[in-house]
Amino acid sequence: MSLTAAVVHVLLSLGSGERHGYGILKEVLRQSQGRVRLGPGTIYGTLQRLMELGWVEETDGPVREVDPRRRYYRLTRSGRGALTAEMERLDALVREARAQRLFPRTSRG
Amino acid sequence: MADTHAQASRPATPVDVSVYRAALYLCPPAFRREFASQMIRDFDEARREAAASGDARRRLWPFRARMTGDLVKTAVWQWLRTGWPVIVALAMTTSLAAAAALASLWPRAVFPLSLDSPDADVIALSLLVGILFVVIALTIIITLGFTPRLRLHRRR
Repeated sequence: MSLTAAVVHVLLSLGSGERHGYGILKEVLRQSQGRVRLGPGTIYGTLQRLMELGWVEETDGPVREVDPRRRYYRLTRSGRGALTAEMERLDALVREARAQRLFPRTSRG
Repeated sequence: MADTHAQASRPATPVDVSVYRAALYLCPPAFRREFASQMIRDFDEARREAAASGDARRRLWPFRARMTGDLVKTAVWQWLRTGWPVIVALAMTTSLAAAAALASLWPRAVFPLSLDSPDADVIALSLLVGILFVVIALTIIITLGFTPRLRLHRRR
């Protein structure tokens, strides 16, 4: 099953630890080098779906930087598995594209 | 008195945030109850960030357009997820089909009107209004009939 772009971005933003909604927004912006700006509706709609799938769960938040007004989210074991599977799928696609010389010469990797 | 001072010193809620809060009522109640407060907080932070970076007036309009698009998309998607649009469409289709079937079965001998009759327009209008009421009533009845099944489906 291939995942939507918003789902992949949200899962990937939670890959390095738990975050609140705005933290996810900022992390997606950073990971995409400013190209992907998810709105609050997209983020919480995606989180709702991921929680229903059991891929993301709500937590109390990291001890040092807890803002009591915020709700924090983290990946579950199955969420991490789904993210890894999706990254492997994308990696295979990228390798195929490289084999077909579809990348410009300046492309890294 | 202290409350009055506290209220006076509290910064006013920006218009954008008030509009966004009101617009969130477009979303289904369950989604709103779960995420509205977080969404408003995130919207406010993103708005302040957009306003702080350079020319606030120029930066805020693309931000507002983006947030409007995001909210409309979310509201449509969330309502579709509830299943209500499908049920209402199904109910309307069923009731329209029922009304059409009734109209075709109607004994024509009851209204032996010619097109030249002076009351033909009034009778035709009355029939149309009658059919409209039947469609509305059937839509409501069928929708209410589906509601317990939808709730049961959601609980599973």
